Amino acid sequence: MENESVIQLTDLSKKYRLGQMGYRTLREDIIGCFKQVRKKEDYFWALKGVSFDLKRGESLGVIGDNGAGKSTILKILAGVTKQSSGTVEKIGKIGALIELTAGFHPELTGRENIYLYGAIIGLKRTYINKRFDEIVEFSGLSQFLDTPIKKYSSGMYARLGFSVTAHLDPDILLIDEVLSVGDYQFQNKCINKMHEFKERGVSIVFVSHNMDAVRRVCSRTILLNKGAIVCDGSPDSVIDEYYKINSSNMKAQKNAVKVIEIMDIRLVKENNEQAFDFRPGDKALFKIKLRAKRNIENISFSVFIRAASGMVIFDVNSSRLLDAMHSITKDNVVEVCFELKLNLLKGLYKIGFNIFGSIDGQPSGFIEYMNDASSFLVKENVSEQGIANLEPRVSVNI
Amino acid sequence: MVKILKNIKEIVHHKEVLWNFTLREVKVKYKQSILGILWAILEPLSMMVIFTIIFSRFIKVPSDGMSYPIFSFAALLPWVFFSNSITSSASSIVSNMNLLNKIYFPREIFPISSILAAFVDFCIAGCIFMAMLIFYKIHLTLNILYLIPILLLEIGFILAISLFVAAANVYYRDVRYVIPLVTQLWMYASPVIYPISVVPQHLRPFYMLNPMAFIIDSYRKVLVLGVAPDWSYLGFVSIVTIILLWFAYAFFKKIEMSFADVI
Repeated sequence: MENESVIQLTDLSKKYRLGQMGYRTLREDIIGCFKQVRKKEDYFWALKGVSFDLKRGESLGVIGDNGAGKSTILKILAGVTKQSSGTVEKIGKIGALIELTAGFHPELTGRENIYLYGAIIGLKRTYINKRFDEIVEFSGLSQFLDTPIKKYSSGMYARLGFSVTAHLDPDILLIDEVLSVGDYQFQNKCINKMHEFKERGVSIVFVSHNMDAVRRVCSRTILLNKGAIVCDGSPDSVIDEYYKINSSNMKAQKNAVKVIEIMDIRLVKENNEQAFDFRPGDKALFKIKLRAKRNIENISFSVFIRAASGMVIFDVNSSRLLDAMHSITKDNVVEVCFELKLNLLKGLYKIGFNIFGSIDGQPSGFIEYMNDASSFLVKENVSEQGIANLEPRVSVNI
Repeated sequence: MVKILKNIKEIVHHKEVLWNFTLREVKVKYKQSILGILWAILEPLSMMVIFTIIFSRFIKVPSDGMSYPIFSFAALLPWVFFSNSITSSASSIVSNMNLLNKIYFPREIFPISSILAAFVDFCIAGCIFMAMLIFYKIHLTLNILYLIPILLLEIGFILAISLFVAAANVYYRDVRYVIPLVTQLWMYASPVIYPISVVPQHLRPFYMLNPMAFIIDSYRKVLVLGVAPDWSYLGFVSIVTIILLWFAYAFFKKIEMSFADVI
């Protein structure tokens, strides 16, 4: 039984007719009828020949850019839409952990929404009655139970939704980007709950942009690109691959008509060698080379590093490090180099930057930014957990 | 036939969702408004008052011997149920697109819950009508039992139209804008403000092709006049409704799976 497949997708494809995506007006169709020149059908393949197996108790992460086909897979598994070709076999009850707010109605109270949302995700009323106190306690919202949820904060929304969802009892659980809401603490709670599901033998398909969460929840990950599986393996190796593909794409993106032209961005080691892998405590040089297309006064640069979860873990502005601000004139080429000591633990990190300055005497402002300018991996297995390397020492006196 | 039974079984399986959607619609409607539950009766009641003033004071429209308020309310009762159901069904699927995209249950649950919510209004307005009957000292006869098949027939007809417009609105958003116009015209084509007896005899067969004409007329006959509805029309409208419902449901089920792609 252990190795039994609960989901088997074979050569699954899904195409949308380009004109069909989205609704039409009657007028368009009537005119279309008269226009004899029917364009050759333009198809968009959301999925193209996707095959994979999911074993009982396995948790599969699905990652990829927007539009890569992640949601389409979930939609087909949830039975919301049909594939164009290929087969889907599913064994067992499917539960979906959907966007936590989708089933709520703002005018109704927390109590009413628990029942409404519960029914939508497939919980019986009698079952909710029995577990009601437990659900409320989990959410920590007992005081607000009879308040219309339009008065709730988004964090409260998420807590209420998740406490209901946590009582699902499926064989296969589909999770779509639910971690995008809620604070860090809440995200942790969600991930713990997913581990509980896993321990109960529930198979999980987890779609997320949150690499950190994928790493923590999944035992296996697939990377989708343009509707096809590019990579299938352990979360670590697949996520590395994803970032490598991404950072090479990034270089191709040059800025078009902008105040400055980014000529080069590179992350190098002390020996000036371009690098992707670092070890905790390594020095890294982040270099931005740019050409000004206008006169820019008081130019300053900020660099930030984000963990895979998206959290900014470090942010610094050059004006705090330099004694004076620089001004540059048109066609000047500027090279900025930030030296950073990567006191970080194992994980993937992204670097982004902002450039501020005032153009032609106007007030100072934002002139350029790049969220994912580069990424790097900190390797090496240290036993410490977390993101920061605080270089611990310990002494025990008895 | 087997397929339809299977579909019905699936709706029963998802009855909790259906019940909760209906509850949601009813609650939301009455929660925010100061007048609350009065809204259910305000619409037919105010129309009755206006119709009475215009069509029995200003213009003398015959009412087959009934007093005009009773005459018009007996028709507004089924009519408002019909038009409200159709209007809210039309947008029921589109307005739930975020759910539709994520989770599966039979899609007909959306229009059906809209109809059920309108039925709650219908029942409340029905109570007012009963009070009016007592006030006007109209005695009910055993023929009131015909109300059951007539009501079922009306619900069946509403369901057929609702399934069709709800699905069509997913594909063509024009539908939602067309519906107020169509229901308005449809009201004039039905005996709401006038009795069937004013329709010229030679046009009657065409006029009666509209199932609502028979249904509204039957409400008056059964509730106010205390006589049985017209048997031959009852048979005809039943057959028409069953065929329509069959087609509408088959159509709905056929395109149901592509809703998520189009929305």
